[in-house]
Amino acid sequence: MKLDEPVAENPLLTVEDLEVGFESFDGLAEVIDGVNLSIGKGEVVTIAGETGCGKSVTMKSILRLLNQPPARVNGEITFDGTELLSLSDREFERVKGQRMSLVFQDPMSSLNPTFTIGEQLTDTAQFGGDSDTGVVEFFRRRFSGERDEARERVLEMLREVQMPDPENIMDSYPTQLSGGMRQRALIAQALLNEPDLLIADEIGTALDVTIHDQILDLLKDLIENHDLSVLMITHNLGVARQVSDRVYVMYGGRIVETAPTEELFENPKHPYTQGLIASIPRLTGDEMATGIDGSIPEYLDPPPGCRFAPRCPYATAECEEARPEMYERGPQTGVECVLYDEAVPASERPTVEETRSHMTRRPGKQTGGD
Amino acid sequence: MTDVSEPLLDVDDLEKYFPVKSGIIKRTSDYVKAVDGVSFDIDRGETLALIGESGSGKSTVARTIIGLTGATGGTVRFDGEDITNATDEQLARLRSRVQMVFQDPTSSLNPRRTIGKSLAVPLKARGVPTSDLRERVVELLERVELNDEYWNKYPHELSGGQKQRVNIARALAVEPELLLLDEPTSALDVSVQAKIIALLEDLQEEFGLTYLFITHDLSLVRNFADETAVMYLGEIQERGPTEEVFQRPRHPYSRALLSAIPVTTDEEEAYKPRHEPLRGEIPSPRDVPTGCRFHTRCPYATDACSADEPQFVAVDAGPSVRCHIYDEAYADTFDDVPEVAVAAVADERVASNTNEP
Repeated sequence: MKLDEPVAENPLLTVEDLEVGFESFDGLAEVIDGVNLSIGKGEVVTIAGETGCGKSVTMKSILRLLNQPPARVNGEITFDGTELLSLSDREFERVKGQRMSLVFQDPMSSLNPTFTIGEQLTDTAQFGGDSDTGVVEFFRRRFSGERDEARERVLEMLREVQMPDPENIMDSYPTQLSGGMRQRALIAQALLNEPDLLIADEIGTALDVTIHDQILDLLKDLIENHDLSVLMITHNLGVARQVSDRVYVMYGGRIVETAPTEELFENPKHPYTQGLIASIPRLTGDEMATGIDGSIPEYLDPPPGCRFAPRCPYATAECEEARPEMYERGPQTGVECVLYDEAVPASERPTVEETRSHMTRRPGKQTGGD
Repeated sequence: MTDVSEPLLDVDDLEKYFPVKSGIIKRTSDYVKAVDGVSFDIDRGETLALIGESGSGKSTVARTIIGLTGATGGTVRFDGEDITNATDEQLARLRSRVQMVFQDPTSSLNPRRTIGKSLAVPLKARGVPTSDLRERVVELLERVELNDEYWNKYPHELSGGQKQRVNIARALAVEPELLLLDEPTSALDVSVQAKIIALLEDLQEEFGLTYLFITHDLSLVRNFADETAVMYLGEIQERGPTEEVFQRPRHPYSRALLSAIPVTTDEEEAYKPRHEPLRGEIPSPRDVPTGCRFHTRCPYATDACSADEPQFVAVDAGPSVRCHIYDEAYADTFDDVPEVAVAAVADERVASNTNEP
């Protein structure tokens, strides 16, 4: 049975059959190839995958951050009943500013170094989603009591993200802050206008483990208190497990597996997910797989069938011919792999242990690709 | 040639202070104590993992060992020879025996040289005749599981993992005994990281290499290192056999580091100490806290911790720890003392106790 999106109950955001290509001198690079995903109201959903598998491109096409051309975006993105791709820039700007927020990976380059934290955040509080106020309205808001109210709101938000000494931070420039504090300022900025959807791109990965841990704890509290719907993007499966309700695993511009978090980690199904989980160094000291052979597909000339087939230890001729469908394997659970067709007996489906043993060292091998 | 029982690398009380200059005449007004009294030794063929967050001084330790920066104090002995602030003549000899692999695989390769040329440089320096160069380079590439097609490629044509393999090959070109690995996998994806680690393990077995492995990722160290040292603000806080440090992390900082790792199974959850999020952030090494350097963030800190500096002492004949909790003299100042064994180990102990009659 094919898994039908949206799998989320009461979906806030659904992405259907998203295709993104990039025009280049060598032809069209088909980076995102038919991505379906959905985020329910109050749900925390993660897209996990390695570098170059299309996580950020997916996020950017949802927020219309890709320049078209060279990008070509096709598909349907629905946010709370509104089809986003057909909106005019102005209308989209309004929806985005008022109802969606984005926290970027690098806290330094997403803050303006020439303004103090207070100025930047107060501007967001006053003008978020309102980029075309006009000169008169701008001056009215900027130099009236509204500015002080907004400032008050920013201070409150900084306290909520547990920023140490918020009054002083308001008058500091981003360079004067540590990485952890910058990340907190960004989170505060993202939450100022009470968004419905928060998109977090590799939040905290640039930080040290102990600080990263603090930020994740904070994020969990904020998600609960503000009843946020979150789309997290991460390459760290451990983070996905800690924070999210449901996970999409991406490979080569396609979603290869989706499942509720617990199911995904207890029972990973797709050979890629299994290989990825087996490659993570373990605290228990169990032997670690030696990684997945080969490298991610060339998007200018992707494999015709399953994009993971050239690296998959279980690949057959069938895999190289046609793209497998997303087989439904339980509630909100789907795998894009021919091994999960009903016709295939369960005994032929690989376990993580089998995949691990396929990927542990074979002496004398010559691989050459990472 | 040398006494085998002697450690290959012996670092004793190493100090590296960077001067802070201020004013018009650039007078030295202060020091950044990047490394402040670090001691460890590594036996031949062993791996020591040096763990710490950014700013803890772990990279400075490696750079000082290989002579990229001079030491302010202490001694570094390599194979019995004192190489602290080595002379040029000493360095020339030393660098064919000690090599370093850096964190960022891209910036450590010259973008205008082909891989073949980059690998030929250390070989030429060793006096390999030009006629043999190509053959030797291909040999090196094969050792790191790359084929001879890479001879003519430029760094930008390679993926991160491949570049790091080339860097490892270049370090191996002079047939060193000691490799200083400064976060060699932190810029790579997990599936690639796993392959680089497997490669390093193979090479260690094949050539009997000794590794100083610097990383911030504790879970990577579990299988890989014989000994583990945890650094914080220029000092080693805990050092011991890896197994012991992971199963009974004693220093509150080691415990916090371990508990902060995002893991993927419940089994591993049991291998983490109780979750104790740290307060605040790592202080500036220009303004080191008094007493125990960790007291500003430690969940167990008492007044004694901010007043007296703890000694680095062996606990229960196992790892050495720099913490008052394990000092008899301070025993009554703490009302909350951490349960040292992680849950998984404690469970095993309970299970084996109940089995006994």
